[in-house]
Amino acid sequence: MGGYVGELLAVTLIAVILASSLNLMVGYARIYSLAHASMYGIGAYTGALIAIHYTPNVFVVCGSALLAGAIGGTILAGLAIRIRFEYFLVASIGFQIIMQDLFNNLGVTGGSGGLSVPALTLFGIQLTSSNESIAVLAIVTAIALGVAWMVRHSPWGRAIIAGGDDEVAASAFGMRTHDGRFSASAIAGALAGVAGAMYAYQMAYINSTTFALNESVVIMAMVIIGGAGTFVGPIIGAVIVTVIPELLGFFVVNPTDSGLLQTLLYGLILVIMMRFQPAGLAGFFRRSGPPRETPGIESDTATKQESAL
Amino acid sequence: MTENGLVVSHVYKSYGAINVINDLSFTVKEHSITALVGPNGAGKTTVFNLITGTDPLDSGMVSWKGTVLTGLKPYVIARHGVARTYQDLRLFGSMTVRENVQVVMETSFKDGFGHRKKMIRERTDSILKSVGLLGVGSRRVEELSYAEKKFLSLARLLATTADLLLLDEPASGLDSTSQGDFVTFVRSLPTHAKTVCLVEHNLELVRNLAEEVIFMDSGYALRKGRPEDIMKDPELGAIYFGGVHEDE
Repeated sequence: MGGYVGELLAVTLIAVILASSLNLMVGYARIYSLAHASMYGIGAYTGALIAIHYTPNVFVVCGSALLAGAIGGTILAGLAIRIRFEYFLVASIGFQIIMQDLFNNLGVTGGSGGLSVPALTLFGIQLTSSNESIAVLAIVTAIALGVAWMVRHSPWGRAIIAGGDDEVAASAFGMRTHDGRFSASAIAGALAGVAGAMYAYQMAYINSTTFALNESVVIMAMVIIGGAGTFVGPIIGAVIVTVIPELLGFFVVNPTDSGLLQTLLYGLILVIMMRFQPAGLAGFFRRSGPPRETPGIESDTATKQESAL
Repeated sequence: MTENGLVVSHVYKSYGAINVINDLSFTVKEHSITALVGPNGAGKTTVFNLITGTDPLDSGMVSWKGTVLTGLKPYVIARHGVARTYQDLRLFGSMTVRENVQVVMETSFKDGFGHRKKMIRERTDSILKSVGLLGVGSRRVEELSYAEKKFLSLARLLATTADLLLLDEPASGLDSTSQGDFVTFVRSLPTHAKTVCLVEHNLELVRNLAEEVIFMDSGYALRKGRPEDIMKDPELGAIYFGGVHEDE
């Protein structure tokens, strides 16, 4: 598999990792972050620098990117504990802008010129063919999804979700909600870091424009469109947001028009989803029986109270 | 020196210029059912918020079974055996009914719960059955009726190892059948060696259930006694229904 289809598949798999990892923060811990592209960038640059200066071994590169992303996520979580909701959203934009500036201006990142990334190796074999690189990416994506699934279905993950649903109640039942936010953010950062390393390897070149604020917005759109707080939602969202713009390219001859249409389409879909289907596309698959009748509601409380005295 | 049971001693709490709790002192004996009653705004729910650490005290002391809870974080207080329900239920909305119970149990039995997974599953089933929700365990909270949500909030208490249960208006909004189920539920609690303190406006239910009543008004504990003695006091009745205060 190679060429255009191979590249589209690679970009889609990376988007799946990014959306599923952001979902741990947005959908489970309710940390609304617009700094996910910075975690993605931290992983990409870490992976690229390790591959360039130390070893192109895929385990070392992915492990380093994972660790760097986790550190980034933990730093971000430090903010999330002290600042909540819309205030954190604004703070995360600030974090994103700072990181983008660093990516663009540090000597080690190659500045605006970016970095060329060598092919990775697995057990000493250089992974140069398109099929090999897609296979590695598919395995990494499967592992990332496995982690996301385990978080959703583990006691520890349920505590994260409980804290996201209602911090006061979760805390009153003995859950350390701060720990939940820290771990959700660290894991999300780690997975985004690995996605970054995979991107650097797939594209063989990175520069700061890939890890800008608009990328964070697009990842958030994937989560929201697909359905935050579900396992399949971010996967659906990532596929749709990545593939539909490409399909548009087939129908629109002028590339300038295509870019404009993509932007308009993102905006339109987000507005429509928020208005008519805030649970995202995954919400359509959720069991939605008729509202249950509400037995047990009383109407004579006041009468009883007065007669009691 | 602290006593056994729940001790609330000379507690003050204000929000801005409004004094909500004023030199409040009372005790609740272990293994007893005590009701806090009083008109709206008496500070009953605030007392629960202060005991559970949701709101910090301005001054005073709260202890449970000899352990001073004042200044502790809510999750630490919970680990000292205090659990509560809320007027607005505060269920975990994105989870299923079963997960709402499970997550509390997993937190409560973090250590030393042998054969953990199987035991938690069985115990969750048993709790859901006891409150009549076993058949709707896989439903999401939003799909439940109000009465079912109420009983789910009680089920979460059973999933804890807490021995002091604070119930905030547990019967409000329930019809007489569900209230009967609730009375049965609370009466079955002493087998688990629980101490119950409830805030309730339904005085008939209080009379049926509580061994002691603490009558509160304007952040003070005005009177403490048996339910029948408190409820036939005309002065307290006037305060409760007429907004007539002692200084009027």
